[in-house]
Amino acid sequence: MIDSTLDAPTAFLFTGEICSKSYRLNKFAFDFKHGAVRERFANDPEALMTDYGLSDTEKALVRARDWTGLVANGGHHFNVIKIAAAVGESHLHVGAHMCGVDRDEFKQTLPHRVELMPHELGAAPRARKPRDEK
Amino acid sequence: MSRILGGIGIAHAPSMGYQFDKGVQSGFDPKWQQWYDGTRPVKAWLNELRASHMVIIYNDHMNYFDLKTYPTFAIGMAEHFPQADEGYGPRPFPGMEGDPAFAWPLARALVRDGFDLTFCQELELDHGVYSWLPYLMDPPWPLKVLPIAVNMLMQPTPTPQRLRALGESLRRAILNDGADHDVVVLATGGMSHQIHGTRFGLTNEKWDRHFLETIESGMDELIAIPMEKIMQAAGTETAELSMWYTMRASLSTGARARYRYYTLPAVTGCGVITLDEPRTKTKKVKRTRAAPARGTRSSRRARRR
Repeated sequence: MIDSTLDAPTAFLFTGEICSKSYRLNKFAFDFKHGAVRERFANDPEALMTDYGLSDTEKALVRARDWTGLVANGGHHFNVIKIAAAVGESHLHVGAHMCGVDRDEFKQTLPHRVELMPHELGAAPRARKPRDEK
Repeated sequence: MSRILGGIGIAHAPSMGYQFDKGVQSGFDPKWQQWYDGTRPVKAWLNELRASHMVIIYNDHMNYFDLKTYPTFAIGMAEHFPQADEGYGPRPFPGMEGDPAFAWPLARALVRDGFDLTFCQELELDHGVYSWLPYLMDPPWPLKVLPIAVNMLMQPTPTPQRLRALGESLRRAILNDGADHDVVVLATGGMSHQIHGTRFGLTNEKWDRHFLETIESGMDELIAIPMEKIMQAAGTETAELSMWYTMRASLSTGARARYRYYTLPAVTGCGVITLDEPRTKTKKVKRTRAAPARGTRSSRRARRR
């Protein structure tokens, strides 16, 4: 059974409030689309992170390549994957990290097919259900 | 007054573009060969329609718009739309041509109808457009485009009802634009997918097929389903399907599905539907007969190859 709630860590909905709180982290990650920023990151990641005003927590998550932590701390996944790409990790690596499994192993299990239809869901969609084993 | 010839709803995904480039170079992966084969009739149909303009309802993925200024509805008014570099270098395709003379009357009508658009004099198109594009057309792209980018990344996103209303306004705008264009409306949004969280890789073929079947005549039934429930059942990013309502609502209620195809090659449901306007066909046949179009058409097709 797949968890059908939208609560973390099954999903991390990117709201306006999260955007306000984590704006600098997202700006930092977005700018990885520019080669010059990727190059600066490769040469002196600490200076780059300081220039973008990242918090100590955010810096530690970047150093640890903790993609899940970055998204859980307000990074939009489309931005976070840009940092991952700059250090040679694909979207699949990020997905495997989210699920806490090895990338190659993860690849074998994709896609995760479900057959649930929206009308089959209960009346209280936000209610947290106990999570099943992965 | 311009005419709407038909509509297309189609999925997008970065892998769709990547696999196209790989496929034409060294042969398609069998799973993607199916999508390639499945989109051949769409390409043929589009080629036959000979539309002059295509309105594209899509979403960007942090490849052009950043969070600094995030528009809910942005409309591309430029003469040229380059392909966005998503960080891996641009793919070997030219940018797309826009047409400000086509765009402004429509933009004015949409604003008059209550859609306060963000006007973009520059806009780069990411895989929201470029992933399906080479499956449907060959460069040089045979038509001019009017891209409308919808916020699908940051809550609150526009409601499905609002996206339907956008389509209705778009229809009025095109049919009363005082010009003489043949327009196709295309909406693109990934079908079932979720690409973050522990549900990364979730897909729901049953939902996707239901959606593809129902959108022709049962759009209101789909819109009545709370978006959150669709996201729960089919993945959070499946919310992108609500852009397809704009396409459907821009056509007449009598528009009929001409073709549907679905496959699931990776982690995003890949589906496509084409809808014909009922009067389009007769009109097209007449126009074809009146003009010495046969040779023109096949020579055009040959050129595109």
